[in-house]
Amino acid sequence: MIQGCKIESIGIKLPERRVSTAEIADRLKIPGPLKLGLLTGIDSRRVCSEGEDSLTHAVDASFDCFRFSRYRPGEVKMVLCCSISKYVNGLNHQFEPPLSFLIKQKIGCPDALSFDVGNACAGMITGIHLANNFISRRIVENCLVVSGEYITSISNNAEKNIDSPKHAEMASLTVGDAGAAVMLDRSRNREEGISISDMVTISRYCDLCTGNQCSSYPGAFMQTQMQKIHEVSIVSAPPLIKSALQKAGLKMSEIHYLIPHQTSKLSIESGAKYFAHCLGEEPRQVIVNLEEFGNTASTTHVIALYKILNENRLKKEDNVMLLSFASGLVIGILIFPLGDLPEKYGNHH
Amino acid sequence: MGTIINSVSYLNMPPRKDFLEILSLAGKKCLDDARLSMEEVNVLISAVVYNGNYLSEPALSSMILSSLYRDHPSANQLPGGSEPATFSFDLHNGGGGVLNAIQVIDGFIQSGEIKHGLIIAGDTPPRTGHPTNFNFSTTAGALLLSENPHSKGFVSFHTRTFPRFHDRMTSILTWKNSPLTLEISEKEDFLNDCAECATEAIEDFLARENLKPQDISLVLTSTHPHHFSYELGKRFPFNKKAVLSCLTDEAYSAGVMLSVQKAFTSGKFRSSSPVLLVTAGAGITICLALYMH
Repeated sequence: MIQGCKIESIGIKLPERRVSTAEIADRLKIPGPLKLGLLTGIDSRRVCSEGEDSLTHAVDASFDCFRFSRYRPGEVKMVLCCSISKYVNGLNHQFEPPLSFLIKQKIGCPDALSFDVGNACAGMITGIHLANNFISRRIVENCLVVSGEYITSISNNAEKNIDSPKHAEMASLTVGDAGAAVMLDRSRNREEGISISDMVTISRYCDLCTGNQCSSYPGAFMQTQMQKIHEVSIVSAPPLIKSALQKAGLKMSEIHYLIPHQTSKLSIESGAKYFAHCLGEEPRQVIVNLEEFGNTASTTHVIALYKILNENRLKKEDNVMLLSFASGLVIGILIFPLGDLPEKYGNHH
Repeated sequence: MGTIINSVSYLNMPPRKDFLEILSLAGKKCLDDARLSMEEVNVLISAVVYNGNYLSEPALSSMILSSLYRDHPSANQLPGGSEPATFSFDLHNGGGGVLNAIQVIDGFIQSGEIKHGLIIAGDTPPRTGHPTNFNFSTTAGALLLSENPHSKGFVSFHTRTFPRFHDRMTSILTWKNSPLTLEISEKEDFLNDCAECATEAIEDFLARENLKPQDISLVLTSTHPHHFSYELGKRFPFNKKAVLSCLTDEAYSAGVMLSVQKAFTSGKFRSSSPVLLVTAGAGITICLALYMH
């Protein structure tokens, strides 16, 4: 590619309403105590209230992103919507026009090129992967990659069905609602841009986690083979991480922040341990933010990055690796230096 | 370096339980015609809109990929640390998704990241819920794009939306009128409005490309809305017989693949340059692509 592409700004939307893991565990029809909070590391998650849905979250996150961006809404040239959930006006699943079309109308860039990208929890990383190509080839000047997740219906629907801790819908109880947006544009040089954007699909594991719209109740349901999908994700990732690091000319110890997909604390910790064993090195810090937000599907990486950006501890030289694991099985790796981002979010080191 | 259409396939089948199998058949036929194996394809994009069971995750593309790799269980995995060959994802833009997917794959080919990309599209009636105005039959299509140093292939793309017509075609899945209902609404004027929008978009696009309507030797369109190719041919001053007529309203997302397949089979595709591909869909969104040999 001739030019590079960088993350110019990010924004998020978290609904106000909180639902604790204890509340959910109490409602389950499982005999005996279930230490769900302890197992997952999730204390609470944010949940949509009336008037909030996938579209409002995506739009609100976009406007938050514009607060830190040099672009105004009307200057956006491309919009990619990467939500798994496509709920509009409550729990109405929008097929057409697609959500990306509605988002660009709402934020005020009706002439932007737009389409929806679907890749489960790797949706936003896939969107960034595509934007990187479009921007680097100078097809567009900038691109807003956005997602609005209203996914807690799968948790509500799972509560009705779960009758044992090994039930296939147990993982549905970990999710939370959120919106996230990333503005990307051209970098002045390759050094400040995205170093690596690698995506693969190991499709023989495609049936380990499936979600469909529910015919009996509003919203969706999801079935997951938790243990198996964790195992194959962790075992498959090291060669890909190694290859990505090599291409970026970096060692794992030069990654200041590794942000993995946020599923459960135990999974992230055991994964990090296994990667350290395979690669012989560890990143400086592995980010876990499950406690307050749960698994917010395609938005998890951006929510986590936003949080650490606002904790005033980042430097422009810091390297970040976003590591995505998604149903499919999709593994995505994005490596980039933070560049101007920390300063925009009030980090002055 | 050009991105060319290497092969195309289209299937219209009675609804069967396993829509995934039909989509995979279309993909397999496309690969067989090009004498390529799935292992040689770097990116697979599904542009399917209605998959029959409202699948939200994983991406349908990963399931199609799994099905296409079924005969090669050792493929698409990580033996000894080597990387799997294929990356897949879904791209949704209603009737225009296929042209957006072509643009994405062209981008990866132009930047030297891949050599071959496969696009799968198609639709099938929902198996649960009560669809209203679902008038598409079970169809599936596949388009294989490949790098070619000796041909121009796709040279330009343009997508334009006309939000003043946003209510002309809508489709939502709703639980508000229990039971679950897929509500598709298409206004009477949708065809005329699509033709009007396409005319406006094509005028701008050709002007940008320094082309006159008479320069276009072949026009291939989406098959939805019904009679779109006919209406476009009536309104726009293309050469006589430049617009390939596809008078079927059965295909939806794979409609433009049917048009390409007809042009391939008749030999018109190879003998025509430049070729203009046009799709119309909800929004109203018009997608355009220009192809040269």
